[in-house]
Amino acid sequence: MKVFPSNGGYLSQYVAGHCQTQDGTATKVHIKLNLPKTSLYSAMVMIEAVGFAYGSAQAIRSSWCFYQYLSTLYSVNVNNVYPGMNAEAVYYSTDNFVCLRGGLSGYFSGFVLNAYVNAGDGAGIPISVQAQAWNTNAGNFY
Amino acid sequence: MANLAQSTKIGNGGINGGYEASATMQLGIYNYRLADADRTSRYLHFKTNVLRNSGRMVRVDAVGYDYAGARPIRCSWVWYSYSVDGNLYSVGLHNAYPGMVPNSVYIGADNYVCISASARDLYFIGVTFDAYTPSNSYGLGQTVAITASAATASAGNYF
Repeated sequence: MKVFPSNGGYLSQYVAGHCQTQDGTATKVHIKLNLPKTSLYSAMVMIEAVGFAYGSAQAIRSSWCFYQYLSTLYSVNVNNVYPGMNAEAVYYSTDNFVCLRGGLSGYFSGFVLNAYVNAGDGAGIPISVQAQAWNTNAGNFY
Repeated sequence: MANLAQSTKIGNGGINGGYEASATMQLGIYNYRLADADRTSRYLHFKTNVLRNSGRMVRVDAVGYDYAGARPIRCSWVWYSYSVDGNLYSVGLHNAYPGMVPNSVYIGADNYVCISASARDLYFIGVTFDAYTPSNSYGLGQTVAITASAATASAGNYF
């Protein structure tokens, strides 16, 4: 659901993506976004995962923020409110898209991704998930 | 996926009879962004449409990104505008992430409730506001709006 504030066109995007697994062996989740690494594309983005890690009985609210500018990621940070998942990294895939990595606390983890592109460059661009993987790769999977 | 051209009001589904149409959760009531290139300001002020004696219990959230500080933003202000004496009660300031820190809830010179926050850096900062009015008889579902904004160098009341 995309919400345009009443005073302008800079939107919040609720359920921009949905990720879930029943895999009991996975310790990491990798999420490939639709944002390309290119000199023609820039965006200041904050993305939150909100959900439930059933296996650890914990809530999830984690965030990744970054500025995709030219062909570099700037001002990257990760934060976690609840212990259900740890936002860990933002990286480029080998096919040049922005990816997120999170560390899992238990099996049957699921969350929605909300995206906020309201800080400046790229304001309002649609965010979506084009692929997700659940595994034990603590580096860059894509 | 729905595209909603205005701030989105979500009611309580009729759980409390008679309030079916109420908007207890109001998403995207206002967007604010600033690219303060000279970086002279550190405080942001927002005036709401809530009068000091309106008898409303309100929560306002800001969600966004402080680019220069490389920090996400999720913070909230809560208060009760008491109808009897026009004072603010149960004021609370909270932040989940470090990108913006709520500084105060205060009464503006024209009797509207204002909120303020500080940020480490206002060079490319942006937030979208949501509002919650969940308390029966105390402003349940009444529309919350932000009517003005300002950036200042000092922490004192602006409006």
